[in-house]
Amino acid sequence: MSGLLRTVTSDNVGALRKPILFSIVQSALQGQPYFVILMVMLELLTPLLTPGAALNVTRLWWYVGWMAIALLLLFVVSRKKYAAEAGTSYTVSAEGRLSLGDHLRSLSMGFFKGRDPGDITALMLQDYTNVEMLLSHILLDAISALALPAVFLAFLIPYDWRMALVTVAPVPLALGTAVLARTIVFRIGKRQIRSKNDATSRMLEYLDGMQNIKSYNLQGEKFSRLKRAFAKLKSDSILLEGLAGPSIVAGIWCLNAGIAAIMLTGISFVLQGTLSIPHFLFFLIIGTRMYDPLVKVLTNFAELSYFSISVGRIRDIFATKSLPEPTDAQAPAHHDIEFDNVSFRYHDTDVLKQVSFHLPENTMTALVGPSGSGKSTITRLVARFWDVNEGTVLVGGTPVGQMKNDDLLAKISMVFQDVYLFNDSILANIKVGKTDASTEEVIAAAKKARCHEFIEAFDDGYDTIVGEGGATLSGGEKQRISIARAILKDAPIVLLDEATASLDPENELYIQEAISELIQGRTLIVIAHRLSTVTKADQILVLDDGVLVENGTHEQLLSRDAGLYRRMWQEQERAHTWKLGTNAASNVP
Amino acid sequence: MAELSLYEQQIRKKRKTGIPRLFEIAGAKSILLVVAGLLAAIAVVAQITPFVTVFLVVQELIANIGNIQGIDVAYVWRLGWLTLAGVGVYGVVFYVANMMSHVAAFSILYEIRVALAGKLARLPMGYFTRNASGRIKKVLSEDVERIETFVAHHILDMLQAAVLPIASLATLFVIDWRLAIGALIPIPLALLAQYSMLNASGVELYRQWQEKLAAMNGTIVEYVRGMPVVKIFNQTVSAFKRFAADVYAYRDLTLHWIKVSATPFGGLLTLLSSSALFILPVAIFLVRNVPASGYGAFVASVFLFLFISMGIAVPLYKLMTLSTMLIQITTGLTSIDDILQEPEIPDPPQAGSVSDYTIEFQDVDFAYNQTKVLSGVSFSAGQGTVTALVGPSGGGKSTIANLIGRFWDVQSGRICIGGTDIRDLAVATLNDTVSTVFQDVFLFFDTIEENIRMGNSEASFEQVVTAAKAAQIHDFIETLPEGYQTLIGEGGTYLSGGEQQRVSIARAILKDAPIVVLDEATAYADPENEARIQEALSEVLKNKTVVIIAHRLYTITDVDQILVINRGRVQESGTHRALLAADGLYKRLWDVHAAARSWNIDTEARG
Repeated sequence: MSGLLRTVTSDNVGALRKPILFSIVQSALQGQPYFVILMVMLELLTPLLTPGAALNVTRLWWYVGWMAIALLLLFVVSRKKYAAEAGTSYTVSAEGRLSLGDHLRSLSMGFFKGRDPGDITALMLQDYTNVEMLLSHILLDAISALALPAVFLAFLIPYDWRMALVTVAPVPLALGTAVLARTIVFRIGKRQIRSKNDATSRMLEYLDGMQNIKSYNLQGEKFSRLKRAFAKLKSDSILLEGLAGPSIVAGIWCLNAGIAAIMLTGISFVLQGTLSIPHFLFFLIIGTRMYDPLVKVLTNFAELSYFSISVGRIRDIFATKSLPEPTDAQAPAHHDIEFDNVSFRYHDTDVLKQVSFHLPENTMTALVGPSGSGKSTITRLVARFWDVNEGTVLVGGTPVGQMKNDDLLAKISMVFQDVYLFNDSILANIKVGKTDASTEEVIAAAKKARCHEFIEAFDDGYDTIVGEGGATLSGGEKQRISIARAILKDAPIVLLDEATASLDPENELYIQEAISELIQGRTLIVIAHRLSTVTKADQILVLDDGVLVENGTHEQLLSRDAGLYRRMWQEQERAHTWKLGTNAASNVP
Repeated sequence: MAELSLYEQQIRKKRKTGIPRLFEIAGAKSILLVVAGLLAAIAVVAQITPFVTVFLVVQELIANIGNIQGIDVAYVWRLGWLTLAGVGVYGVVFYVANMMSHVAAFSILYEIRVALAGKLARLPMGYFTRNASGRIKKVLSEDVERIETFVAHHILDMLQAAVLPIASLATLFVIDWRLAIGALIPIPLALLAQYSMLNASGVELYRQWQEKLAAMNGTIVEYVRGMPVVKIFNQTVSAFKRFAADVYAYRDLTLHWIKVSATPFGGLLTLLSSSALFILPVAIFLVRNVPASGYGAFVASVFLFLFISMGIAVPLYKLMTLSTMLIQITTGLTSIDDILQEPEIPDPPQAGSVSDYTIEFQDVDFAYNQTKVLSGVSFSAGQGTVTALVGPSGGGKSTIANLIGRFWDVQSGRICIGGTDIRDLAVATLNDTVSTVFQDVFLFFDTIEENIRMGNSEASFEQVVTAAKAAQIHDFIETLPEGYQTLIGEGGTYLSGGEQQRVSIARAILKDAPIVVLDEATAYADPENEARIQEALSEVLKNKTVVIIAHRLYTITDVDQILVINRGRVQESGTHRALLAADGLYKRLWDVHAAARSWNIDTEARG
C-alpha cells in the first residue's frame, strides 16, 4: 500500500498529509452531532432518572448552539478539505504526468519501436485519471470511514471499554471478509478477464475481417464463433459476480450484526449492574450509525483493486530504464560508421550475429537481404535505438555508447516509411528539422523536397494546419514533408528505407527526386528492397538471418555464382518483367 | 441469415429511448429486473430492522429506567435475534437481487452484442470504413459496458436510495409529523446547494474544463506518438514545455473550478449531517406541552428521530447523480440503435442467375457522403479478359473495383454480371462469383489450414495443399513446426507481409471465383517476395474475368483493355499501344513511370 502511494504521488507521500489531516478533522466534526445527540439524550433522561428533577431547557439550547457551531466548522473544514484533496490529487496527477513525460523523453528510440503508442497514451490519460479518482475519492473516503469509528472509539472507551471493544469488533472481521472477497475476485477475475479479452479479440477480428467474412460467405461460421465467445464471457461474468458477492455480503452482515452484539452484551452488563442505562443507550445509538461509512468502503473495495492495476502499469513504465549516458562524453571525429563484431538480441531472438563492417565517410552502403534478415536493425543500432549485446557500434571512431544520445541523433537523419506530422502548420512541421530556420530556408528545403508546389496550392500555403498524424495529407505528401525536414536538418549521416520511395506509386517520381536532393554528399545507409535502385552503392551488405553473408559492389556480388545476392537479383529481374495478359498463366516461367 | 431477433423486431416498430428502451431490449429478462427491484425494496425494509429493534430496546430501557429488574430480558434477547435475522435476510435478499440484476445485465449485454454482430454481417461492405469501424468498436465496448454498469448496479442502488429515505420518512411521519417536518428541512436546502453548482457559470466552467481536458489529451497523444521525431530532431525540451503547459492548464482550471464549487459542495456535505440541528428545536419546543405520563414515550421517539434522520439525506444525494447517468445511458442506447437501423443490403425477392461472366457498367453514377465519386461510367469487360484501371489517385479506380463486389449500391445506372443487374443477385451468389483480393490482408486467429479453407469450406486437405502450392506458400508452411496446423494471428506465429499475402492468395485460388478484382499493389507489398507473389497472382487470374487496379504501368502493357480513370470518369480507354498513340493522359503517366523505374540511389551530385 505504501509502495502504491509512493508511485502515485511520485515519491511525494507528504503531499497527502494535508488532505488526510483534513479528512480526520472532518470526521471528528461529523461525529459532533452524534455527541450532541448523546448529551441531549442524557439531559432528556434526567427527569426519568432522578424523579422530581426538571428538564434543563436552557442547557438543551446550548447543545443546539454547540451543534450549530460544530456544523459551521464542518462547513469550513469541508470546503477546505474538498479544495485540499482535489488540489492534491490533481497536482499529484499533473506532476505524475509530467514526470512520466520527462521519463519518456529520456527513453531510447527502441522503447518507442517496441511499445504500442496507444498504450502509453492510455497510461498518461486513463491511468492518471484513475489515480486522481483513487486519491480524491476512494483513498480519502476509506480514511474517513476508518477515522469516524476511531473517533467514536476514543470517545466511548472512557465510558465503558468493554462495550467499546464489542462495538469495534466487527470492523476487523469485515475487513477480513473484504480481503477474502478480493482474493476471490482476483482468482476468478483472471478467468473472466481472459474471456473478456477473448471476446474483444473475436469482436475486433470479426469487425476488421468483415470484408473477408462477407466475400467468402462466412457470416454464419464466424458469427457463431463470436457468439460463443460472448456467451462464455456472459457465464464467466455471472460466475465471478456470484462468487465474489457472498463475502462482501458477509462483510456487511458482520458490520450490521455488531448492533445485535451491542444489544445483547449491553443488556447483560446492565443486569450485572456494571453498565448504566444511559451509557448503554449511547452505545446502542452510536452502533446504528457507526458502520455506514464502512459499508460504503466495502462496496468500493473492488474498485481499489482496479485502481491498483493502473498504478502497477504506471510503475512498470517508470521501471523501464533509459540507456546510460556517458559521464565524459566524446565527440566523433568524422562520420565513418563501423560495426565491430556486433551481436544483438531482441525479445530473446538473435537478430544480428557477429556482424562486422566499416563504412567510410561520404560513401553509400546498401543493406539487402530477405525480410527479417536484420537490415532495419542495423540502421537502428547506428542511431542507438538499443544497446548491442556484444561488440561495438562506432560512429566517427567513437562507440555510440560514449556519445551523448542527443549529439549522436544530431548527426543522423532518418527517412523511414512511417512519417509523423504534428497538428500544426506545415511551416512548423518542416521547421522541426531546425527550429531557428528562417522562412526562406524552410521554403528552400521544401523546394528541394518537391513539396513547395503542393503546399502553395493550399489556400493558406505554408500556414495550412495538418491534422494530428498528418491526416489531411496523402502518403506521398507526408513523405516529402519529412524529407524537407531532413534536408533542413542537414545531418552528415542519412539512414534511408528505400521502400519509402515506392510507397505511393502516384508520387513515386517526386519522392525519388526529393531523396536524391537529400542524400548528396552524405554518408548514406539504405535499406534496399528493390536491388535495381542500389546498383551504384559503394558497398552492398547482404544479410541472411542476422548474419552478414556477402559484402561488395554490385558487380562483385553479381559475379559470384552461388551468391545470395545474385539469386535475389535474378528473382527480382524476373519480377520486373512480369506482365499481366489475357492469358496470365503464360507469364509464369 | 438468421431470423430477426426479438430485439430487432421491436426496433422496427417504434423507437423508444432511455429506460423504456432498456426494458424493451431486456425482453423476457425484464422480469428478472422487476423481481430484482422488488427484492431490493424488501431488502431495504430488512435493512431498517436494526433501527426498529434498537428503538424498541430504547423504549424498553426508558420505560424501566428507574427499575433495572423490570427490564424484560427475554424480550431484549428476542429483539437481538430479530436484528441478526433482519440483517441476515437483508444480506440474502440483497445478494439474490444483486445476482438477478447482474444476470439481467449480462444477458442484455449478450443480446445487444449478438444483435449488433448479426446486424453487421448484413450491412453493405462499404459500411466498414475505418471511421465506421472505430465507431462500432466504441459502441461494442464502451457503450455496451456502460449499460452493464447501469443495469447491474445503478438500478438497484437507485431503488434503494429512493426507498430507504421514503420508508424512513414515512415511519417518522407516522410517529410524529411535527418532528418529521423538522427532519425534512435540510433536504430542500441540499437540493438548492446542488442546484447552485449547476447554474450558468457552473455550466460554462464545465465546458471550459472539457476543453482543457481535450487539449491536454490531444497534446499527450501527440507527445507520445511524435516522440521518435522529437528525439531525432533533438527537440525534447520544447516538446516537453508544450506538454507541460497543457497539463498545467488543465490542472489550474480544475483547481479554479473546485475553488468556485467548494462553498456549495461544503454546504451540501454539512447539510447532509445537519438534520438533528432542525429536529432538536422542534423537540424542545414540543417538550413543554408533553404530559408527564407521556414523557418517556416522547423521549424515545425523539431519540428515534435523531438517529434515523441522520441517514436520510445521504441516499437522497446519491439520487441526484441519476440524471447524469440517464443521459449517458440514453446516448449509449441511441448509438447502438443507430447501428441497428443502418440500411441493409436488400436481397432481391427473386434471385436472378448469371449466364456468363461479362462485367458491364452502364452509365453508373456514385456519390459517397454527398461527394460525387463516379459520373456516367460505362464500360464492358468481357468474360476471360483482363481490364486494367489506371489514373491519378482519388480518380475513382478503387471505387469502380469495389462497386463490382457491391460494397455500396450505385445511385443511378447499373452494374451487370452476365447481363443480370448485381442487385438482382442473392448476396451469397454475388460473393461466390466475385473474388476480391484485398491489399490489406486479414488472417483469422486460426490454423493456416483453416485460413486457407475459408476460400471453400468443403475443400479437402489435399485441395488446400494444392492451393497453397499454387500460391507459392506451401514450402514455407512446411518449414513451420506444426505445418498447416500452425496457429497464426495474435498470439500465434507471426507471418511477414508477403507470407500473409500469399496465404490470402491461396484462399482466393481455393475459392476459384470466375471474376477476380484486385489491386496490383498487392504484388509489391513485400519487395523481397515480389516474384513469388506475382507467380501466385498469375495462378488466381488464370482464365478469369479480371479487373485490376494498376500502378506500375509496365505490368499491364499486354492486357486486353486499359481504362484511364480521372475525376470519376473514363477519360481514355483502349490497349496500351492505342493509348500511347493517342498521346493523352496515359502517355503522360507512362513517361513519369518510365522515369521512376530507372531511378538509382546515388549520393554523388547529379549532372
